[in-house]
Amino acid sequence: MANIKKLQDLRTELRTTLGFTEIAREKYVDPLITSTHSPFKVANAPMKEVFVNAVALGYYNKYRIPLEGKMDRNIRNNVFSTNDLSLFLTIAATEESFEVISDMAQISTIMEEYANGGIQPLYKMIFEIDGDPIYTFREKFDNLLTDLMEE
Amino acid sequence: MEEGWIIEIIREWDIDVNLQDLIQNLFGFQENMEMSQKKKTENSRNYIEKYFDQDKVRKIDTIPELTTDIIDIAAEKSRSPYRFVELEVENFRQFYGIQTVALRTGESNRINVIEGENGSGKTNFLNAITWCLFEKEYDTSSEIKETSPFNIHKLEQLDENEIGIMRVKLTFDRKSGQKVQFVRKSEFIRKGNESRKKGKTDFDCYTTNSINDPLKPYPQADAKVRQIIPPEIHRFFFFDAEHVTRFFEPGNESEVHSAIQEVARFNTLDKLMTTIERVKTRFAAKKTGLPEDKEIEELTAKIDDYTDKIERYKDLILKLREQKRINDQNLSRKQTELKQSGYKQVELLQKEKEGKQNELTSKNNRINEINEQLKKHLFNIMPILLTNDIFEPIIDKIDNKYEAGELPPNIRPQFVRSLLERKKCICNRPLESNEQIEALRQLGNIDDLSELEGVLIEIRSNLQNMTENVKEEISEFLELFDKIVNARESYRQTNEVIDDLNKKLERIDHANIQSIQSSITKLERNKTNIEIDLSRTRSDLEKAERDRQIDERNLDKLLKGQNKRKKINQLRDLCDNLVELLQALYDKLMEHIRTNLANKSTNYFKILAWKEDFKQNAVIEISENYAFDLKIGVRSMMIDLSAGEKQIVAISFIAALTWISGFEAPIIIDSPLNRISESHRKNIAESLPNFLEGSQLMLLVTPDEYTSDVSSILGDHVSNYYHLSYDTNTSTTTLRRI
Repeated sequence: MANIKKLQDLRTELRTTLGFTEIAREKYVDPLITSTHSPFKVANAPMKEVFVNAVALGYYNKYRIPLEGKMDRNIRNNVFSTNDLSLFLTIAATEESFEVISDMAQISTIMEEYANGGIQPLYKMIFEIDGDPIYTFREKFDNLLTDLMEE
Repeated sequence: MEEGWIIEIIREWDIDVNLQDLIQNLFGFQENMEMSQKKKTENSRNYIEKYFDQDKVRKIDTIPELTTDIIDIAAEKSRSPYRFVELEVENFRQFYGIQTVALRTGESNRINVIEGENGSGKTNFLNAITWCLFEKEYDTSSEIKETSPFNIHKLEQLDENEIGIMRVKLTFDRKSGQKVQFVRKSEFIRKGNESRKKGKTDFDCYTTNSINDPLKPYPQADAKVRQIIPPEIHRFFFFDAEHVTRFFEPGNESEVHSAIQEVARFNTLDKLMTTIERVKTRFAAKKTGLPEDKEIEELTAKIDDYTDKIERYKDLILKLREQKRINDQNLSRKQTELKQSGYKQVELLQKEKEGKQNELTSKNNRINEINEQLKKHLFNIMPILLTNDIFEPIIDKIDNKYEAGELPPNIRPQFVRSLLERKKCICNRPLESNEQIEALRQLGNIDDLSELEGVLIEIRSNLQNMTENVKEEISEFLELFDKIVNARESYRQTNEVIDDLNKKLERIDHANIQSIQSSITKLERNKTNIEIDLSRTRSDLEKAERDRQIDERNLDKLLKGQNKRKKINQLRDLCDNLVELLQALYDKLMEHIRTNLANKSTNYFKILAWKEDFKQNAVIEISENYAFDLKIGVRSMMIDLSAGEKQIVAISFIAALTWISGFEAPIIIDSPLNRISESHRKNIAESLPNFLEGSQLMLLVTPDEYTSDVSSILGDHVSNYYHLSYDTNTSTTTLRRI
C-alpha cells in the first residue's frame, strides 16, 4: 500500500540540481542575473527566477530545445517553491500526459528543455528590444493581462 | 650484460640519454613475462607521457646513424661471463640424497666434463640445471616427463604420508666477483608407491656483488634468471650436439631466422613496436572534439575587437565626463552671470526655475522607485500570466478524477489499513468473511496516480491561489504602471515648464540677458545630451565587457583544449619517432647480425674444423632469406660434408648465436663428439679449448666419446671431471669426481 505524497516530497524527486546548457548560461543567464538593467538582479534568488520565467516563456512560445552539449546545473531543487512545482507539473501534464507527474526525473528534463528554449527570448526582451523592459512587457502581453483580470 | 645487447646498443647510440632511459623502460615492460599485453601497453603509455610531461623527451628530427661500430662496441662492452661454481642436487630423479658437484673453472681451464654411459643420467644432470633455473625439464622423453621427478629410492625410505624434499641448488659467479645462487625446492608426500607433489615449488635467489660478502636474498629470482639466460633462448646454450644439424636441412631457413630473432630478442623489439603503435592509437582516441587553431584565431580576433571597443567606450566616457565638467562649469558661470545681472524679473524666473528643477529631480527619483517595484512584479507575474490558460483544464482534469472515484477523498489508505488491522468494516461491523476482507483490501489498493492524490489536491489548490494572487499582483502592477506613466507625464510637463521659463528668460528685453539665457538653454540641452550619451556609453561598455568576459572564458577553454591537442599530437609524433627509431635499430641489427653471425660462425668453424682447406678457406654464408651455406671459394660444400663436419658447422652456428645474443651463460654441450669419427675426435679435442672465447664449457660425454686420447689432450683445460655411476639395484646415480 503506497503512501500519499505531498508536493514537497516531489521536490526532492526533481533532479538535485537543474540548470541551463553551459552556452546559454554564459550568454544569457549571467547577464540577466548580474546586469543593473535586468529586473532579475533585484530578485532574492535570481537564477531560480530566471529559470522559472524562461520555462514559462519557452512554454508560451512552444519552444523546447533538447539538451545538447555540456550542462551547467547549479540551481538546487530545494529553492523551488510549491507554486513553482505546481507550475512545472501543470506544464508537464499538459505537454505530455497526466501520468507524467509521477516521473519527476522526466519533468526535470522537460523543464530544462523549456528553460533553454525560453532563455534567449527572455534575454532579448530585457536587453535587446529598444525601450524599457517594463513597457515592452506591458505592450507585448497587454491582451493576456486584460484577459486574466477579466476572468 | 644484464640488460641485454639491444639496450647496450641504445646506450652507445648517439641519442639523448632520457630517450635511452625511456626505451630501456619500455623494453623492460615488454620483456616482463608476468605482465599482460594490456598492462604493458598501459605502462608504456604512462611512461611515454611521464617522460614527455617532465620535458625529458621530444621528437627527434633526424635519427642518428647506427653504425656497425656502435653494435660491435655494445656487444664487446661488458663481456664478463657467468660461470657455474657448484651444483647441489637432492633427490632429483636418479640422484639420491644430497650430491654436490664442484664446477668452478679457471681462466685457462674453462671446461667441465661430466662423463657417463648412455642411461647413466647425463640428460637428467642437464635437467637438474634447467629445472632449477626454469622449473622445466626439456630433454626428457614424454614417458619420463609423466613420472614424478622425486627420487624413487628416497621414496621407498619414506613412510606413508611422510614428506620428502627434492631440491637443486645452482651457484654462478663472474670474474667481477659477483655471485648468484638459485635454490629450487619441492616437497613430495608418499601415497602408496607414489610420490605426490605437495604445495608450490619454492624458488629463491641469493646474490652478492663481492666474493668476500655473504649471499643476501634477492627478491626477484625469475628476473635474475632472465638476466643470465632467458628461458626462451636457453636451448642455444644447453644443447644436444646430435640434434643441432636441423638448422641446415633444406626448407629450415625459418628456423635460422627465428633463432636469430630469438637470441637477438628481436621478438621483443618487434612486439615493442606494436605496443607503441597501440599507445599511439590510445593518444589518438582522445583527440576527437578538440579545437582547431582556426577557432582560436577567430575567438582571439573577436576578443581583440571587444578590447578595442571597450577602450573606445572608456575613452568616450572620459571625454564625455570632461565635456560634462566643462559644460557644468560654463553653465554655472552663465547662471551666476544671470544672477548677478541685477534684474528683478530674472531673479524671480531663476528662482522658479530652480524650484522646478528640484521638482524634476524628485520626480525622476520617484520614477526610478516605481520602476524598481514594477521590476519585482514583472518576474512574479510573467510565469503565471504566460501559462494561465492551462490551469483551468488541469483543474478540470483533477476534478474529473475525483468524480470518477480515482481520488477517493473519504477513504484514505491509512484508514483502510487501520480497519483491516481491527478487522472492522467501514460500517464498523466486524469483518466476517474472506470476501469482505478482500473487498476492503481492494478498496485500499491504490495505483501510482492515486499515490499522488495529495499532490493533485495541492496542485489544484495552488493553481487557484496562484491565479488569485497573480490577479492581485497584476492589479498592483497596473496601478504602478499607471503611476509611472503619470509620473513620466508629470516629469515631461515640469520639463516643459522649465523650457517655458528658459524662453521667458530669453525673451527679456535686454541683449546681454538674452545672450546669457540663450547660452544657458544651450548648455542645459548639452548637459542632457551628454548625460544620455554617458548613460548609453556606460551601458555599451558594460555589455562589451560582459561579452568579452564570456569569450575570454571560451578562449580559455579552447586554449586548454588546444594545449591538450598539441600535447596529444606531440605524443603521437613521439610514438612515431620511437617506432622509427626502433625500426632503424631492427633493420640495422638484422642485417648486421646476419653478416656477423656468418663471420662468427666461420671463425668458430675454422677453430673446430680439421681439414686444412676448411681451416684456411671455408666461409659460412647466411643469405638474405636465411639459407645457410658453407663455401670454399664459390663452391658450396654443404652437401659434401660428413655427418661430423655438419655437426661442427652446427655447433659453430649455435656458438655464434650465443655470442650474438649478448647473454653470457655457460655453454653445455651434450654428446659433442658422438658423431665425429674417432680419427677426428683428437682434432676437435685440440680445438675445443680455443672455442667460445671466455665462456665456460660443460661437456656431457659417453666414455666412447671421451677416449683416453681426448682426455689427455683436453686434460690441462678441464677443471672438473665427474663420472656418473648408475646402480641398477637402487636405480640411483652417484657423481664421482675423477
